[in-house]
Amino acid sequence: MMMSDAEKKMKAAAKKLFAEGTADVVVGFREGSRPNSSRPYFARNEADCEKFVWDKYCRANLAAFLPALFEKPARPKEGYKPPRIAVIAKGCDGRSILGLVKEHQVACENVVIIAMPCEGMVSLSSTGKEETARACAECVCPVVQGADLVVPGTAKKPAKADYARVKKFEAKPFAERWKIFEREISKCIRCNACREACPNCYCKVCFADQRRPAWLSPANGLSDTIAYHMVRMFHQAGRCVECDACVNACPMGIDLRLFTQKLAADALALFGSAPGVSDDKVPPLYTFSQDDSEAFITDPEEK
Amino acid sequence: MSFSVLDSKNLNKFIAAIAKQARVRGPVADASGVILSDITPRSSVILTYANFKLPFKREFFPQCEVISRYDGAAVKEESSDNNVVVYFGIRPCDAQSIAMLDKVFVDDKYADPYFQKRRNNALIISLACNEPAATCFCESTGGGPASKSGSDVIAYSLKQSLLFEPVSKKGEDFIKKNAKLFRAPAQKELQEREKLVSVTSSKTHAVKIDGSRAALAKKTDSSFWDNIAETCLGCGACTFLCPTCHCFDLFDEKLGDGSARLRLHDACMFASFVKEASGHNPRNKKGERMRQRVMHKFSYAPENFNAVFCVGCGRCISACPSNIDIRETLAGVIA
Amino acid sequence: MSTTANPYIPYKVRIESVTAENDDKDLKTFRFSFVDKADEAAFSHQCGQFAMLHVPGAGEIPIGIASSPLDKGYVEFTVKRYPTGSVTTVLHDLSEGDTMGVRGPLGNSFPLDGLRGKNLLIVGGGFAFTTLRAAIRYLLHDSVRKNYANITIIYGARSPGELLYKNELAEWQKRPDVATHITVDKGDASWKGREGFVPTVVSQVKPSSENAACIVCGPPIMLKFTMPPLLELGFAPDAIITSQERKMSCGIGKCGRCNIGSKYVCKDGPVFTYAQMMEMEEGS
Repeated sequence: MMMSDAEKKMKAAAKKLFAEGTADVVVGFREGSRPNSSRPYFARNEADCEKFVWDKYCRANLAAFLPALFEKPARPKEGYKPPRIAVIAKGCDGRSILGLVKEHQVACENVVIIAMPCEGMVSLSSTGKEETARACAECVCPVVQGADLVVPGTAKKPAKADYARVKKFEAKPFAERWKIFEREISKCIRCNACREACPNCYCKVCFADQRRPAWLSPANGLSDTIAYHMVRMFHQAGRCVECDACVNACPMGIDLRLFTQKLAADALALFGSAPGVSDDKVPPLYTFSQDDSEAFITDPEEK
Repeated sequence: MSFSVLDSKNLNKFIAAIAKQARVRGPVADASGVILSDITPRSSVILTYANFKLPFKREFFPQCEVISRYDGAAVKEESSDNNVVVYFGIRPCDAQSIAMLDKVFVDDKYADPYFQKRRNNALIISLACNEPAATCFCESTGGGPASKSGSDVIAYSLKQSLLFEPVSKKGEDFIKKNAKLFRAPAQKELQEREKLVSVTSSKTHAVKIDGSRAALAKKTDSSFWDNIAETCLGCGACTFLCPTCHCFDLFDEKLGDGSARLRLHDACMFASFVKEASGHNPRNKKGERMRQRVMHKFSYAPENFNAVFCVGCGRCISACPSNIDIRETLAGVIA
Repeated sequence: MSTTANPYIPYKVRIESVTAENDDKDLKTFRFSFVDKADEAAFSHQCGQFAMLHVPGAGEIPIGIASSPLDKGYVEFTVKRYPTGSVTTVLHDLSEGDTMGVRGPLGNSFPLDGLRGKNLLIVGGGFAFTTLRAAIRYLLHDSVRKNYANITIIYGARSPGELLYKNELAEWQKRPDVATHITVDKGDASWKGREGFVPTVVSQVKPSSENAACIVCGPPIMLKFTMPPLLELGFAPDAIITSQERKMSCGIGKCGRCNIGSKYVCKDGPVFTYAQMMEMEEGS
């Protein structure tokens, strides 16, 4: 099978971490219970590692589990130490982990990135056929750089960050763009799956859940739902690794990628920032410098 | 029970005739797949779909509804329209879910007027399944691809015709009232129906539910539940798509000089579902919330309503981003 | 409450008075009258029940009814203000003459009818004392008192300033037909009364469990430490009656929020016996 050599080496690397006592948990994938789906799995010893799989169905972003795993208990026991967690990481998982380290959500010395040679994952088309997932076809970083352990193998070639689909969307007149945006967002049932699946959404109390003050209504009126998505996405600007965890989690099949990519494209164009790929010390919107581009300040009245 | 037949080629005529009496809603083609929507002359009715993404409960218990308004002087009940709706082509699992929700919202010391009104105004014609999906396990939860529970009429999709069978008095009256749209069944059609029912009932995934309530009572070790919930993201997708989940929140929203009181779907899987103003959270851990969900469906509902609150539709299995599978959870409980 | 009426719509009430119960002024007793007199008869509550207080635009909160069913013309609630609460903060800013909503009565009640002829021990701690106050006002009413044997009250608060219903406590202490023991965790310079936690005072007072039942309400920690002395005194678990609390939304057993195991605190409770509590699931 296509990936069995990498899978073997991956299992061996994971087991070795337990054998050497350098990890408490290894986060990876195991076989799913529904067709064409592998799923996240936490191994806690060598025997558990036998369950790991590495195939074209390993789509979830595993970094999403890290903030909660590293959260200090409310009443830590005597001598509490953060867990040591290893993650079997695709390029996107790895980029997310590097982002979380930058944002102090994960202690660098407590996480081990096992970089996998990702050949891209598959998703089902509307007719039920397997095809390369969009995020993978457009992926600029199939193997995360700077990992602690690298499982050798042939990864897919990185795509160019040309954001063709975003540019095509931007070329449309405003009214049409808004119509498309509204059409997609009106499918939203405010289940919050997009937020929970995203590694970057780790706020203890999300702005959308705050009641005093209430920034938006929990009811699913279109205006509030648009506000939710807009603000959530803008919170991702310069941090989003375009992994499509939100897209995959959304039960309603909303094309969130079109909009998250727009922000990622802008972050690259305006700040030269591609999280986990470019070497910014902090996400671009965390700092301000005098010579930041001001091209974003536009007059909507101007044609 | 007698059967009435509609030739498949006359389906649109049938719908047009019913549409004169009531609003008709059913499975129509949409860019995203097959959805439950108004059937208009321009709609494309699809009878070969697996199931809607969204659960049928939303027709009687909407995601968000205004239940009362305050105009600065008094709180007044919000009235909804009184339209009769004929639902055509609902899957038996979805129809059964309404029979269960009746126990919560209608057959109760406090009848819910909002649910009850929509319920009374609805006629449900369900459509037996010819091809259950890989994640379907309706037979195991007391239903089945041809279950009649919750339906007023059940229809069977044969090669060239649709067989209608009345289930409730309301359904009987409907068939009688529209007798001229139907004809009597041919013997081979009756045989075709029997074969269909027996073949599809063998296709659903078998899940052991018997004994789950007793087994759950004994499953008190939190490590079991912590383990199941380990990869749970607390996203709520399972709850929002589940036909029998009915947790909600009531919420005041200022509107001009007054306010509206809204009812919104909520999820026990959300971390702050039972968090109190003092900050205390009785279900602080994901494992506790996972346990609550499973107990509610497979232990508390059976105790209070004599019904397992799961129709085996498999939506939660398909929707879960971490592929947490209720079938595996139950197997682990009973093991 | 009529079960045919819409159970989600509150009765309109007018605030007749607001009384600060403690020095911090974050505990206030609100006295409401029903704007439509017919609603008062429809409301007809029993001791131990609660109601949803509705502040339009802010929301609803479940609060125990602090007045007796025999208190005519009004109904009272004592509410604590939580700085993070979206309703209690607004409610505490309302004053006499303002109108709002009361939805109820909800839940079950203390089984007082079935306890006629018995000795009653009433134990309360903190501001969970409100529904006990309703019960005591009822039990001490002229038309009711003779139906019960000895009545003993043990009530404690963190400090003298935190004691609720101070005027009534003083009146009860003067009455010969009820034994009233008030205590505080820690007194102050002017406090001349008892000091000691409620569970300790229960052991000290040693009320007889002979032909007796106990109604006890308090914060979870107080309940936890009060059960052992009660059991030691010989009170049977099904003769110890308590009241539970959980976050609520609908109050009528539909929204799925307030359950302890298979029981909804709003509908099957909030009153449960200790025997029932032991059967219900912990931490659910």
